[in-house]
This record gives sequence, structure tokens and C-alpha cells, in this order.
Amino acid sequence: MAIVICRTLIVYFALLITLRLLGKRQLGEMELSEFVLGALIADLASHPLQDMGIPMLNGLVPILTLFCCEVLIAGASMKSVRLRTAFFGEPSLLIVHGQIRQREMRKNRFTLDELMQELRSQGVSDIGKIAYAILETNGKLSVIPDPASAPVTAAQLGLPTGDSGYPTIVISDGRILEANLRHAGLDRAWLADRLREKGKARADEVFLMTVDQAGQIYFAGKENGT
Amino acid sequence: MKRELTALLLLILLIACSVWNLARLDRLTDRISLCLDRAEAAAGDGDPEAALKALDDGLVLWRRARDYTNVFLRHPDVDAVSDAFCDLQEALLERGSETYPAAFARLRDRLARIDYMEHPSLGTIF
Repeated sequence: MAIVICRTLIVYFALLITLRLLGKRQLGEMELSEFVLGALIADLASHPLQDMGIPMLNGLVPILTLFCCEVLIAGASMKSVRLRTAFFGEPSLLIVHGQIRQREMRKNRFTLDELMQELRSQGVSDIGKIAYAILETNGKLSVIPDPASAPVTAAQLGLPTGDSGYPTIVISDGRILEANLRHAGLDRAWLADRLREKGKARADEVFLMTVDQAGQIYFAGKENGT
Repeated sequence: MKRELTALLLLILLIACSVWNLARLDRLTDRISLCLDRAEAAAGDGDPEAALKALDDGLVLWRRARDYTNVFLRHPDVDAVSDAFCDLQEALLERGSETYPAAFARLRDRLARIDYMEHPSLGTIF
């Protein structure tokens, strides 16, 4: 048991350090410690199931140890900025006022092709119109456009805006979601009226129906044969 | 903060359990080794009945700890010790057999091995 704990701690920190040194590109949308945890737990859990000669405890102890490490590291890094930087790194500025920072690109092993791909996926084609492009600690690229190229907002134009609120699903694939209906302050009588307006007799003829707090309805009837 | 404290307590509990496990295993192997010492001395004195009796005492200790050993130790290692007990019994039952010293050595070696494999050291961790 002591060996299992020692080995788990060593492998956990070895993976954490290795992936930290590899940079942010590998992470996708997870934080570094989450990625390490995900990579380890899936494999650990399967071993005692596959090999009956391994006690169940040898699978459970590492999982519990990893859980403790993750919670403690996350908690400690919330308290200490220095620790957070050590474990998760810092965001890297890849573009500043239209200028690509090549040293940061090399440091993060981020190629020009990857940068262009990320920018295109965010609808940016002109690097010169970017104020900042930041490679976040979870590997995502955040792009802040130059103020002159940023989209105009309703507030800048002085246009009134209304908050329609969160849309609630009231019918999902022919099924009335009673809890959501009540939560939206509506009832079956209201629903029956709306269905009649849309030319439907029953809820099972509806694929999706949502209603937001402003009373706006989205309606999608079922296709024939579904 | 409550989550972090729970995790810290859980980690301390796991470490405490592993310390208990080491002490439990040491106690078990020490007691079995004492039985083996008595059995080996009796076999050396040409008294196979006394040797078998002492070996049985050791086997009873080993079998009583079955729940513990199967939860904490790798099952092939547990089986190896059980097999070594049977081999030694067989060697002692064949009176006049010269194979029992080797059977004693094998059983001691297997006991020492499970003890060694549970203790943290450079060799066992890496």
C-alpha cells in the first residue's frame, strides 16, 4: 500500500512536470492537473478489473491519492499566485498590437500554421487588426481585436437592448417537461393554446419547444416519420 | 476549504493505513518465521512430528490472515507462499527426505519477498 501511494505520487508529479514543460498546446480545454488526472485515472481503474490477481485496493488507493493531490494542489494554487504559476504556467502573449512575438511562439512550441488556424477559427484574417492574442493556461487562444476593428456594440450606438433571459425547454422530442413548464411560470393550458396556434393537436407532434423569460417561443415540429 | 481539509485528512488516513499495513505484515511474517525456526530446529534434531506441528502453527497463522493478505497483497505472491507451505509439508512428511532444507529456504524467501515488496525503498518503488 505504501509502495502504491509512493508510486502514484511520483507518477502524478512526473506527469505534471513533463506536461508543464511540454507547454500548453497539448491540453485542449483542461487545466494541466485535470489533464494529468484524466490520463491516469482511466487507466488505473481498469487494471484491477482486468487482472483478478491485483487486489481492488491497488486500484482504489491511487485514485484516492490522486483525488487528494488534485484537490490540495487546486486549493493551494487558489491561495498562492506563485504556486499557481509554477503548476499551471502563465498566459502567454503571442500577438501584441499586431506584432507576433516570435520568442513566445517558440517558447510555447506554437507554430505559425497553428496560430493562423486558431485565428481563422475565430474569424480573424488580419493579424494587423489584433490588439492581443493570448495563449491561455488551458491551451486556448483568446483574441482581443484592435479597438478600431472591434465590432460595434449596441451600447456604443445607444440602441436599447432587452434581455430575453434564458430559454427553457418545455417540450423535448414530444415529451412535456413539467418541471421546466412550472419553472417558467406556465401551465398546460397555456401550452395547449400555443400548440393550437402552431397547428398541432398534441405535444408528441413537437420536436422542440422553448420559451424565454420575455415569452418568445422557439418551435420545431417533428418531421414526418420521426 | 472544507474540500481541501477533507482531502488532506484522506491523504493522512491513507498514509496511516499504509503504516498499519506494514506493521501488520511485519507482525505476521515475524510470527510465521518463529514457527519456521521451531520447525527447522525440530527437523534438524530428527523430530519430524514436532517440525510438522510447528509448521502447522505457521500455516494456521497464514490461513487466518487470508482476508488481510488477499486485500492488501498481490494474489500471485499470496499463492506462492501457500504453495511453499505445502511443498515444505510434503518434504517433511517424506521422512528421511533431504529436500526439506531447500523447502524451508524457499518458504522463508517467499515470506521475505512479500515483506520486502510492501516496504518502500528505492528497489520497490522504482
